[in-house]
Amino acid sequence: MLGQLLMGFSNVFQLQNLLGLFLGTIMGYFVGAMPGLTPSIGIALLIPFTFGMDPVMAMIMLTSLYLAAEYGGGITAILINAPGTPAAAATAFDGYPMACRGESGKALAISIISSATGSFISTILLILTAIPMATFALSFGPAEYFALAVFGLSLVSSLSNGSLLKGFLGMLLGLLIATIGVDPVNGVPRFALIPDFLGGIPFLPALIGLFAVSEVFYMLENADQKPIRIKVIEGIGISVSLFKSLRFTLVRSSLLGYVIGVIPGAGATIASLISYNEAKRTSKDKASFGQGNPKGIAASEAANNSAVAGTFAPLLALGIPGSASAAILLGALTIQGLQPGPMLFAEHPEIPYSIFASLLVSVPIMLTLGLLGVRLWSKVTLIPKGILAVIVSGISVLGAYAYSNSMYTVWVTLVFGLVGYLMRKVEIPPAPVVLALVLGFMMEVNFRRALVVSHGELSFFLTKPITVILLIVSVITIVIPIIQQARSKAADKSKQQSDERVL
Amino acid sequence: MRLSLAEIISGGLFFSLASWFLTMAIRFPPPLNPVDVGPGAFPKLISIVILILSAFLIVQGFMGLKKGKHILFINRRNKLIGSILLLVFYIIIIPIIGYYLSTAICLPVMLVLAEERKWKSVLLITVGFLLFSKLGFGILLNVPLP
Repeated sequence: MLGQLLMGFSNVFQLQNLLGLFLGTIMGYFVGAMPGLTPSIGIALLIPFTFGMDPVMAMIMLTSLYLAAEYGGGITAILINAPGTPAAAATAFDGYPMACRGESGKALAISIISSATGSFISTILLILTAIPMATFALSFGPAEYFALAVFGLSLVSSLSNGSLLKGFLGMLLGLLIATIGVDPVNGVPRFALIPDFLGGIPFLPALIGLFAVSEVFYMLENADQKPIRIKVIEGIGISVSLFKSLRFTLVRSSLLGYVIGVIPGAGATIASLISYNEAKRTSKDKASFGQGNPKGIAASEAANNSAVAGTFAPLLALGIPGSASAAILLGALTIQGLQPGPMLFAEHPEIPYSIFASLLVSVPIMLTLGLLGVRLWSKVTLIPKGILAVIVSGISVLGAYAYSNSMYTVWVTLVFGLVGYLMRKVEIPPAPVVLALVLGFMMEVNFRRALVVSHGELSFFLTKPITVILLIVSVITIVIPIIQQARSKAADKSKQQSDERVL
Repeated sequence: MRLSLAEIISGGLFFSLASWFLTMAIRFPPPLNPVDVGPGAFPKLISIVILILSAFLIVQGFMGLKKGKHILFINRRNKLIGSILLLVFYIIIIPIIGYYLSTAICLPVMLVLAEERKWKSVLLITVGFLLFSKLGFGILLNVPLP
């Protein structure tokens, strides 16, 4: 293995491959930062240019684009509350509040360093565990996927910012919206008032609306306010002591991101949300999450970039694409005349090991470019709110249209923008809606598949160890905050009563 | 408007939405496979839970009215509503007169509504955005804008 890895490095360090890696990284940043453009779109756009290339160079370019795009989504999430990729939604929870108080440079630096750390750790794990992890991923059936979705949805309590009732209402609204379209098991149209609804409500335009467009309306409300002063960025934007305080979060999030990334269908979005929740749950200062806590950014970005390497485990070892981006990469390998799977390591070892090497070499390049750009990108927050609002609304319309070359997605973005704005006014958090839109379909379809597989026996769910563990943890994750809130209210009430008696 | 009143209204909206979804879901056909729960099961379950929770929200709102919760305030309300209507108009005319022409018309108006008074800035931002759209999306990403 070591010899093959060294061969991979020697391939990457050839001039044309290094140039391809650099170009892939730049393009990945642009694609990832643009709301409406996903890593899969970027990979799909680059593939035609790789037809005539050497397979190693082609895969190096596509891999570096994929990695950089997952980081790029965090840039706009932090600066203008418009996640460029779905996986950057959790980055916006704390990144944007930091930018609002003049710490955009610090937030961007945390984001890039966390992404780089996540990528590095997960790539090492990938090199060491690709085949056994891929085998583990095969043990996930419908019951396990259902339990994973329920576990993900149990995060609603940590995303509810105080009012669990409003958080649950937001989550349930998202679950209801996720049922619009064609029933996945029977093929029956559900709530399809117009033909466009048959394809369901597209997730990314809805996300752009809930986050970016709703923020546009808030910015327009405050268009007459002067821009905030950005704090001076010292050094690379993050101190050694801050980095040290984030180390446990980074390692935990990288591990979580890699494991979740390995599971086909789970992906970087779920990885970043679960990692964010874990960071909040284990923090001594839970209340600061959602207000600009650096650990929130670190958890999300380390996990979403770590999930990229995780995706390669089932793809290369078994030929199973775990995400849309991985499916397109599978197509790219096929175009180059290569068949992913166990034989790829035996017959064409230069491909997987060059991919491993490019993932490692991409890290310092991505980090350098990212840190060099921090001072430039953070100046976006100096733009007057009114002008920024208009520019963001224009980019949101462009991005929503580019998603599917259709005005339907633009209307979805606008409607969700209005809904998101009104929800925020009534203090109903939009984050649980996003969570439900991501996980609702997965939960329903896998529950129903599990019932079919088990011939209607609900006890089937209890025969699967992974399912049982995830369901128990989900119940605990939902119930404990409810109990804590009830106790807190009771304590406040008794304190109020004792204060009144003293008076 | 008081937050409590807004909670009552939003609770009512959630209630109405869930009622509609429930009514529609009841009419879905039964499952093809008898062990499946069918296309209506999840929407019905979610709608019923929303009906219950929105009732709680409405009650919470009424209790808040008595306590006098904080005021909900919308700054620059008329200009905000104007901007929203302009955005709707912009999206309507894009497929009619094309993306670039509709952007050239609506973007400057939105900038003026957003308190930008310098005509040079308005012109520069509009032209810059149109160039960005053409180069970034039209040419580089090959997105066929209307």
